Amino acid sequence: MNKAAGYALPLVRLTLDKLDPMNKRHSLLICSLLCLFFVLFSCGKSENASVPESFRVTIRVQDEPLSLIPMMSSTIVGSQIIRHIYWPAAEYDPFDLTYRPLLLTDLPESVTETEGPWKGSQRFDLRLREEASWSDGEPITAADYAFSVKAAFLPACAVSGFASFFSNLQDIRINPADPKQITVWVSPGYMLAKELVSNFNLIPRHNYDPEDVLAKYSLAQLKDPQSTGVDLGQDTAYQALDQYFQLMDMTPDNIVGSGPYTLGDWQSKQYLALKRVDDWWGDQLKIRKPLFEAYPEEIVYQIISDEQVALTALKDGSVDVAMIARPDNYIATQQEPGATDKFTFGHASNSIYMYIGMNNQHPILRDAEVRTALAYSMDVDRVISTLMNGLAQRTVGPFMPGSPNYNNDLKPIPLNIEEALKHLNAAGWTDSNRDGTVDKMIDGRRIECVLPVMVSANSSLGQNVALILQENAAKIGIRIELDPIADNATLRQRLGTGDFVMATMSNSPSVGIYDPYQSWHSQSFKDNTGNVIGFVDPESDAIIDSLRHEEDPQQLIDEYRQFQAELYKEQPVIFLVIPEVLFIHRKDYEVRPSVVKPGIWEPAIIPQQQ
Amino acid sequence: MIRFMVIRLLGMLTTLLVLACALFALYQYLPGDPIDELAGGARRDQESGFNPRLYAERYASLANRYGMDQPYFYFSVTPKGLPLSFLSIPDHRKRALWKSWYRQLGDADLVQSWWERLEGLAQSGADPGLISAARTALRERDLDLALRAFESLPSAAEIPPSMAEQMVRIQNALQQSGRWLGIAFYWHGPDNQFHHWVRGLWTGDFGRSMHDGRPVTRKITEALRWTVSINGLAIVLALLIAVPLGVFLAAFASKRVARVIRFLLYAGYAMPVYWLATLLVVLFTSDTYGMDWLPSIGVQYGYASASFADRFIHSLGQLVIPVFTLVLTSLAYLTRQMEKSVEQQLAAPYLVTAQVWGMPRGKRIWKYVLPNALFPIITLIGTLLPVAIAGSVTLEFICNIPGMGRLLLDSILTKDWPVMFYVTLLIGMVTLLGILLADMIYALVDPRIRQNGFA
Repeated sequence: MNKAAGYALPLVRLTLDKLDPMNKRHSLLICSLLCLFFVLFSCGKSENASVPESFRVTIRVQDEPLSLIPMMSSTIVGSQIIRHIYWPAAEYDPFDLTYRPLLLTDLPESVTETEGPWKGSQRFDLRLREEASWSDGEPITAADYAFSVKAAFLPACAVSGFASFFSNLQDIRINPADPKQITVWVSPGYMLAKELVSNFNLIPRHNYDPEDVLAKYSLAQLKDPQSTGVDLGQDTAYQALDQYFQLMDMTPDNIVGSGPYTLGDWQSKQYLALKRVDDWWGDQLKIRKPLFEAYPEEIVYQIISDEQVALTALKDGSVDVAMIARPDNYIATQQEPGATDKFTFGHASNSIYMYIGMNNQHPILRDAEVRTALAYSMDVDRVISTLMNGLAQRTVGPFMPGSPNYNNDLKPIPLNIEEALKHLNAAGWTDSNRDGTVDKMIDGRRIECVLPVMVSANSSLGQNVALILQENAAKIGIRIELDPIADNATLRQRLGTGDFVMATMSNSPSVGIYDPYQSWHSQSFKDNTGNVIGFVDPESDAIIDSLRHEEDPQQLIDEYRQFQAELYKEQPVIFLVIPEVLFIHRKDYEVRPSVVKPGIWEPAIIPQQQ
Repeated sequence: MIRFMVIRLLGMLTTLLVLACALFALYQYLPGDPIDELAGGARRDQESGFNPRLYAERYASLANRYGMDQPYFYFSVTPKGLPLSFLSIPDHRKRALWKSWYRQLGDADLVQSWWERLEGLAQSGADPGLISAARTALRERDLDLALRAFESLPSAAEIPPSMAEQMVRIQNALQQSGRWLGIAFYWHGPDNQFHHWVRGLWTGDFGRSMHDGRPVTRKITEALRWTVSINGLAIVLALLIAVPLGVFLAAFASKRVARVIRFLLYAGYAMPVYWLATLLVVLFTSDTYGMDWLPSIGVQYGYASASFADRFIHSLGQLVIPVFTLVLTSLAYLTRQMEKSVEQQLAAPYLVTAQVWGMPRGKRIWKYVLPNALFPIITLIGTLLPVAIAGSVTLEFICNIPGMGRLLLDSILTKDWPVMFYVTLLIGMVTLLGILLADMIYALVDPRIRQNGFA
């Protein structure tokens, strides 16, 4: 008997027993209420009363995904769940980051095309595994691969940004004689080509586009309908397909994937359950690699938005694993009497780095001396000790400390008010009018050094980081003002359009090879395709241009380090910390920390005794 | 009675229409753009790439899908000479910007050419300082400030001569600003955003959520059944306790007992909902303090396919803490209302007469005092009805219940306009219905009100 039933039944009985027969009106009222309650909660399915006894793991997530279609998902929790339903052609191992083929027989290798329209481009000849099939039993073919790429260009899929991801993918050719064979061409010199052709989730064409609407368009036509003279607005079949994607209900019938799990049940804002696919094709391969291992019969994502509530759920046993965002909650739970007897407190390294973004095109922040002065007035160690309870590490650039690419020669900038003042004075900023704030004549006008920092009103961490900067910057005469933004949509929009002076930000580079072009190259800023901080530095540009074409791995590492040294010199942002991923789980479960987001790999969770 | 109802219903519809208009007008001033989010605008600063051309195409397509490229209302009153095309620009930020610039310049061609020049400059690969200034100017409604963005350029940046010439033209036009442009009136007919939303209310087709694409009706229905269950049960239970308790305190309790009960009631009233609910959850849903008496919070997996009885019991278990919290915190107010009302009735002359005639005390109170003392409670029921629909955000968060409060808050935070609009209207509608219901019950139970012209 479940816990709820055990407690609620005596409650009902007690209520009815206590009723005075004289109080017929009250009895009737209560009975009516119970009937109303029955009606309200009995509108769903009514099947057997069997809660599966098999191994199930329940994981707390903060929110639900927007969609379970990879090309329509834009949230972290969406990626976390979708990756177990739809597999990509190849994927990074969640524990050692080795790139491994999943749907492919081998990892993609590029050759330079020597003929035809794509002469000079990188060509990849891919082969899908013979065994690979969808959860409905249909084989995974090259047509599914092409469809998955093309579907990303539907307006309904715009939110995911996949269309931009495919901008360097030039063409796809399917071999009519061999449905498992694909040839793909990628722009010459594109450093993430291997990931581009193999690291996106495939979706089944036969399920989502049985009329083969997208097959009649080439990739070039979908990428640029105007230039290729295609009017997609007039194609009713195309519009209907787009509409279908837009309106698709996320029910188990509509979810057909290639991974070890499929959708079992989804009660919006309550839980989302994945169940293991019967006769999953991956089991036939007998590959004992983490990606091919899927132990739990069911993975239930319990949606609990509040972290305190999640901790209570963990304690009462309704959640087995809880990801914890706030270090103080993690530490407080750890210090509760008996907590370590019941729970394991795990942590994993993170691929997210936090920083204070500065608009490098702002008249005050255009000067690297001012940016450096601000870096010297930021007490990052205090951020780690007080805000992160020591559960974070410092970083001097967009790389993981400890990774081969990280430049260990660069020492984190310490809090040093004298040094900060020196840089500020060198930039010509002094408190000439003795009002406590430094000022400078710029274009014939006296400008006071006042810098607003945009923070999310929902993030106490971001606000506290800004307050620490405010406190120390005041010592050198820079007035920092907090600019809290109530909703994240507006925050993202303002960040994306460069409508800020300073902002607390975070970023998560790809777990594999890192291409700094989009975030740091001046051309990305000029083209309005990235680099929202407006960082423009010819030296950095030259290093980025060089490393993007580097084929020697050791040389690439050297160039990554040079790039960090250049960022260190210019201080386009104040790099802060890489917070650890924190999670708490039942002691009798084994949960291995993973190096990919969100820090755990759910299919690898096993009971301790196994 | 029928006339009374018709008059009240008409008044209700008018109020609802005013509410819809006010909501719609306020929405136009909300920061942020849901279409931008849907079109992938939020990915500008992400590593996976952003393509401005694709973004613009997707934006136009999605704005069309959600009707956001239509004029706002049935008619527009604009400065004379403003081209009609300005009113149907898909990007509402650009639409507002162009209208504002036109008001300052009075020259549609200059507005358009200034925009095109800035946009060209913003993506031209020119000097970064110029690009940044152009992007700032493209966000600035005040043209004075837009021009000022070009004042603090780095020394290397040079404004192209043709642009400098245009800036002079704008400066000249601004010097003449403030002159009366005249007024133009445009009639758009039913092809407008407001009509689209109100029609949805009328037909019951609330459309789809802009956040997750799910039908708004389904989202509201799912949230509503939790909120109605919790608040409905809480209101009924609170009334079932408060009414007899109020009578007891006023008519039967000794002073000492009454003091103790009142103290307990006020103690319950003084407890903040978030504190009480958290305390109950921590104490009674886990064995941390040895009192694991209540089921886990939130709806657990496995019950959707369970039997009717199991599901019922599970759901009922989820309601214990929120219902108890609501009852406890509202009991003092309701009981006090009832107590005061009974006290007033007990002092009434008709009751003295009944006592003189020798009517038993129990009969006097239950037959004559109670019905008359219930009038204030009728008013309260009318005001409590919208509360039952609107939900309690705090309680829903603490007990992890996906009710109406959370739905409304989430829709505000995610700019989910269809959900926000219809949930707010629904709450407004229920508030009006509650008032109407209270009036009707009054009219039914009190002959004086009927005789005063309502019947």
